[in-house]
Amino acid sequence: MSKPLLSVRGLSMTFPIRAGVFQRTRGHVYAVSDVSFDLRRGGTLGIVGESGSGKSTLGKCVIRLVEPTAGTVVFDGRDVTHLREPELRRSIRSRIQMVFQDPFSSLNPRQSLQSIVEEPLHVHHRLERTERAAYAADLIERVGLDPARRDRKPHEFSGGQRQRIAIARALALRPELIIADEPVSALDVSVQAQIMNLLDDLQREFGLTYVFISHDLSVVRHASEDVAVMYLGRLMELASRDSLFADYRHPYTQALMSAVPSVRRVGARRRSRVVLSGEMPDSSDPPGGCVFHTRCPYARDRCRTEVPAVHDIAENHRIACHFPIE
Amino acid sequence: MSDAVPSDAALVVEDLRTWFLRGDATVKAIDGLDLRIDRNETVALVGESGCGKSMTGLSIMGLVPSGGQIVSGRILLDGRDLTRLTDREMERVRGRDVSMVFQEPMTSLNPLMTIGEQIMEVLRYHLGHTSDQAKRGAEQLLSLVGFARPRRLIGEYPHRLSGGMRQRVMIAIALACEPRLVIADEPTTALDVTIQAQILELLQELSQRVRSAILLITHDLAVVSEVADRVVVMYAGQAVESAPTDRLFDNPCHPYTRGLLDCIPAIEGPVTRLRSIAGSVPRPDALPPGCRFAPRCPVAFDRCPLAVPRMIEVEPEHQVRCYLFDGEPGSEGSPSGDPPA
Amino acid sequence: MTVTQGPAGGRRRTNVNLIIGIVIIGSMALVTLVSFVYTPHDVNAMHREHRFEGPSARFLLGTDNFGRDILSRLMYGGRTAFYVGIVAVGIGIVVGTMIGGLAGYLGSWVDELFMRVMDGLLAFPGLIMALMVIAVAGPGTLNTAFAIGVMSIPGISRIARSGFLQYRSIEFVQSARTIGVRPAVIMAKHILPNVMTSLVIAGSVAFAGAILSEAGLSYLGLGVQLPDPSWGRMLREAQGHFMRTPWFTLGPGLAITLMVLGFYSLSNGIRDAIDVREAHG
Repeated sequence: MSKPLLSVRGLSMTFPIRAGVFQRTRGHVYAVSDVSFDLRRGGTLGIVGESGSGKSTLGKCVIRLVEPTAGTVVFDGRDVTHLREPELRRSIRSRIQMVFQDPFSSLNPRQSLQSIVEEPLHVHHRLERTERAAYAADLIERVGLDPARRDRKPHEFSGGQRQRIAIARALALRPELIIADEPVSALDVSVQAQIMNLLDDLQREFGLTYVFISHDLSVVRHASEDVAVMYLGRLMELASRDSLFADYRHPYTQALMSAVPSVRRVGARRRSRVVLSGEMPDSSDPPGGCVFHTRCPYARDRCRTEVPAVHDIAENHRIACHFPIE
Repeated sequence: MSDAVPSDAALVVEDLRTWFLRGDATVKAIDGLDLRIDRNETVALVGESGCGKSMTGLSIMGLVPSGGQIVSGRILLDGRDLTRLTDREMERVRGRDVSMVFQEPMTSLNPLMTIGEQIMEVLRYHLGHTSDQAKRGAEQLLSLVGFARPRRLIGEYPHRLSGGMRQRVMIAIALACEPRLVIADEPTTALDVTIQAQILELLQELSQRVRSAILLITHDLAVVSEVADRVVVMYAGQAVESAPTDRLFDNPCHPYTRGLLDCIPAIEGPVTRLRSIAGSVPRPDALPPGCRFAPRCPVAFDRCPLAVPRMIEVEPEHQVRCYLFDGEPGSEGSPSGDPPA
Repeated sequence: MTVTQGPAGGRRRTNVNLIIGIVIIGSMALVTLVSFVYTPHDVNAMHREHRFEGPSARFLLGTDNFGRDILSRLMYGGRTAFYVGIVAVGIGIVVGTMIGGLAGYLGSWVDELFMRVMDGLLAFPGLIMALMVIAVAGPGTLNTAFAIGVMSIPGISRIARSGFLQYRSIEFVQSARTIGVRPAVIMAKHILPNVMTSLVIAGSVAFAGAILSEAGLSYLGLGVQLPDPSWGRMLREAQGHFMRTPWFTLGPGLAITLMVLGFYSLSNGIRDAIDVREAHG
């Protein structure tokens, strides 16, 4: 296997909860704990999990919007974990970009379409003014918008169109890696499919590498080559798409799969499914042992005391569970 | 079809139009909706944002936001036309005969009142319960929606509960007076999948145990397939297809319904490129003439932009608003004189 | 089918506050501007034979204890009011936004330090603060304006801080960070314009406050010094003769009240206008 474009090792992100008169630290939120993965150039890693699973924080650690507290992020052979902000701006920012969930808050309401798409070029002093405009027009057209509307403000566009604008902006610097944080969950289904197809086309055209974060298993399945399942800040299972969906081994993955309502299963409506009892514990007070043991239907004594290490269970299939499903 | 309201209908909506008049533009949020929900039945209203599904719920509740009004149509709850009631009378209807579960469980409970107080308030106001009766009622309701120790929960404040638990409380409040109709507006959208599964399971179970009819408003066809008996698909203020759930998924007829189903990424089967519907939902103040889906429809033909098609019965209980199924061109005035073969 | 116009009708309601505010402030400003080219009498001319006169054709608002024309002095006093207001609010907005903006956007120890200093400032009653400044710098119009400006910094910096804090985590700001936009540019280009509206509202409230404070300080004899007319000073001079000549207090009193009312109306009006715009998306 060639060298991965992105390599994350033992990444953790913990932040203190402060309270009271003296703002003393009352505890810690364990947003991401000890996550490792590799991502090849041109590939897509899907990260799936419920709210509070740390999937978004993980994405933001990679792009250094939040500072990881432990572990390393190696991008294209270079350790970027502790790069200082000016160096980050100079050499990394243009190569890793992000697409956010909410196209209503991810665009500055006071900027025009053209200025939103051009801004990255301006910041990095790429191209002359006139060339910039032409380049922006090309991009705007490429993502399926009408360049004639370049002077419009974001509120004049629909949700799907705004997400296209955000994608055009992210593409402007020709990045290699794009972190897509729930890029379609705020959109209507019919528009969702358009945006997913657009991301797919762009990946092929520009050789992009994606980290695709979503709470929606079906969406992740369609977008990704490899899939990581997260729960309470920890990696539960990581495998190639086909082996994860056909041959999942972690009880949490199983529960997640069976919880997904699906129109294709109409015949088996009202089937028995693994409905997890209870809710995800507070990430400031994660359970000892395996974090999933409080809701796991198969938990045994060992699960309550010993944190399961992430280990290979088959080729390209890693899992953190003492008693994987056979 | 007969004009008489069948006796087992809990809710009948006839030709409802809720419009917003904004200066020179008229926004037709709902434009001629017919809907029927029988007792014990769960009907799902499905559509994308801006199709008028939420406005339908608000119209039934008499809570149309300012600027909008019901310009025509009837909303019959057990034969009584809600559009003719005064505000005062409507207050007695809300919460007692019709109740609502909202999408956002974090903001729909009063943070300064305990869970018990909020349930008991409804019981006292609408059913005239004494404090003791209301307290017992609240405990029963909480155990009905799946809380193991309702007594302990009664004194808790909402912020102590998670989103899923709050949504259970909201459902308990909605069921407090055993209303004729419960309107659930995107009840699981704000919840995580595993919690969503719990709430869907609860709704399914309740729909069999309580006698209330349920109107489930959602954008998610997958959720619909899990709980609804019948589905009404809405597009741009109108119903475009109505069918029993199984039949809708087995034999979707309207091009929009088919498009929607194709858009949904599947959790099983081969991964193929997603099909999408071109364009986007028309703005409600700039609706296209004729069939409102025509500009996005892959099979539209010359007749579609001319006039809005009527609902056509393609099989028993299955209606579609599409010219493809209109076997009698004469009904809309056929432009050519060709007799059908 | 005919459709009757509903009661709310979706039409925008007339923004009464904004209109009142603009009319009052506009006419005050106009009168003040006129004073540069014309006043009915010389501001400091004493008409000894006409002391304590009531309103007449010659002295529209009467005369004071030295026989000076009250209307002329009021018009001239408007200059002082606007001058003090503009300088004070200018200082307050510029310094307050910088302090609040840095505290809100950078957070951590910068926030802690700046806001504790602001709390410290806030702990002194405003007038005592101003007294201190004047004690050090001496009385006078500019010093008064400066003192009042310093007084308004803590309030404005809190508003700026909460705005910057709110926008710091919004996604378009994060998006700008991922593109590599420098923090100073993010603050100036992406956040400030979005916080500006609440700062404008705060500024017009502060303007009203500045006029009141100037009147108060001048009333105490610490603000604007002789012979410059100031409404607060006029009020003080009138006080001793209130029983004899009530109209003497009426002029400056009314001027202060109108000006303050005007700015409050204006700030409410601006807020309403923004609310409407946001509600209609």
